[in-house]
Amino acid sequence: MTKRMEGFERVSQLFEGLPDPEPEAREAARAELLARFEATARHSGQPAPRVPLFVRGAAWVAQAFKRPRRARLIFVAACTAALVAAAVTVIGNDVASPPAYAVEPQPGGGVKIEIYSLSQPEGVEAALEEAGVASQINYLEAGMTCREPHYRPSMAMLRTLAPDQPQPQPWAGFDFESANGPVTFAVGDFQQRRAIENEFREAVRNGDSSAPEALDFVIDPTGFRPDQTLIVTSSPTPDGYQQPSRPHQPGVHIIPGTVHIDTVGQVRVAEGEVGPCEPVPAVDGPAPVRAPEGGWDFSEVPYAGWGFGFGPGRAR
Amino acid sequence: MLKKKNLPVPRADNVVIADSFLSPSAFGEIFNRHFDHIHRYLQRHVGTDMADDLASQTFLIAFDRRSSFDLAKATARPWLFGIAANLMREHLREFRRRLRAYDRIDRGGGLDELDGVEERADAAALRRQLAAALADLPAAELETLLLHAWAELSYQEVAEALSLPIGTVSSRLNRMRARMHDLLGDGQDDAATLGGSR
Repeated sequence: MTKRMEGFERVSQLFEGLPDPEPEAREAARAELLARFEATARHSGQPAPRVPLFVRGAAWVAQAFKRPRRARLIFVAACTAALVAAAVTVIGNDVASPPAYAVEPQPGGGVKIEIYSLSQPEGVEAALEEAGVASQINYLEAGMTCREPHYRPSMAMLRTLAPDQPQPQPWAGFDFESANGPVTFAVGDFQQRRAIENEFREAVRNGDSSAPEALDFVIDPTGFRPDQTLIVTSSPTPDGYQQPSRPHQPGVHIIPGTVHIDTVGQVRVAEGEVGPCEPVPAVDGPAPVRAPEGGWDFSEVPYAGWGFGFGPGRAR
Repeated sequence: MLKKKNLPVPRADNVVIADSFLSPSAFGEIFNRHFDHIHRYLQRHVGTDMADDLASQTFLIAFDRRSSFDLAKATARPWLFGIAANLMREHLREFRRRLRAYDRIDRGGGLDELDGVEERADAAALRRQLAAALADLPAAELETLLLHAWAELSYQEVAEALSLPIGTVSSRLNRMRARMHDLLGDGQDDAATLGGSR
């Protein structure tokens, strides 16, 4: 009996010990919910609902720290936004082609960068540079990855949205599998991320399928040292593939179903000099960040404020 | 194709719900995590058959209204219990009837462990009395009490579930704690189970 229940022990014993729901009842409820999912997907008129990103990597941090609960996927920026003012710039391959990416200044500073297709990486790098973040954007052919190591992986210190988490906490980047193209991110701060996210949620609530883009993550440039580089490596999946629903928790039943993954990639932070990305066939997907011999040295990460926000994804 | 790895860190409910805006089936994980708890809670109110139906409805409503979930909250538990409690309001009469018929419905878990016919009879009588007292509580107080005592939500979580200020929850529960005390007599807090020292 927990302390907080004190005084109500006897109430809590009334009708106690009833059996778990019958498996058939559980399955019936699950089936009804599944039908609702399908109806929702049909109603929205979208061929397949977008799963913004399957993110991995937070788990990696947890392993490093042996405190699983410390790693959460919702991270927010800690410091102030970079003030980047520019007109909306949409850069396309040429007049006839759809744009490869768009850079949109945000109210209060910062920019939102939406990547639509894996081309013109140098344009994204330039936009990030202007926003105060050094980057290496690698777009590779399907099935390829960079030969590693081509940089020294770094740790970043982040703040998270979860109130019960220690703040800030270390983060080593993430892998993603996306059902609708590459990542969308912003350079800015937490407030800005929330503003964009709220706008998105409002649109979803109103059934607006052309909702403004929400973000996959937010970089706070004030958390970046000049000798650090954001590394984004991404490639299409060969013919796309169906990603089965995955258990995230041992013993958890999973609703059967799949999503179509069309893009995979990694986001990392590099420390110091970054070598060129030499494309090599990916044997087992993008190479994970591996801990250096003897483990990570966290004594060298006194800085904070590298932000990462995980929003509800974007609709297109 | 990437090698599948299970995340050793479960994604928080809010991350799952955020995903479900564009991938409705992601919401299935919320069902997997919380269905049994919600079912058990409803079952204590209205019995198995009706609980099957209401628990199912709870998740359909939760799914439809997921945009009302505050994504800053890591767990969906209070939110889901709030929906379940709301559904229960429609079935309050049935629940009160069950409370009044407590003796016939619940044979009293744990009573068998007690020694002696007399002790068992005392404990059973006390439970019957308690159930009858609950049956007479105003709806709002009953709901608050059971979210705390049965769903094991904290004061803060009950407040979230019912969209009430925490002060209201706290004063309701304190008031009821005193009432329980009066009803059941002194020393009940010391007894780990009914039939303990009285």
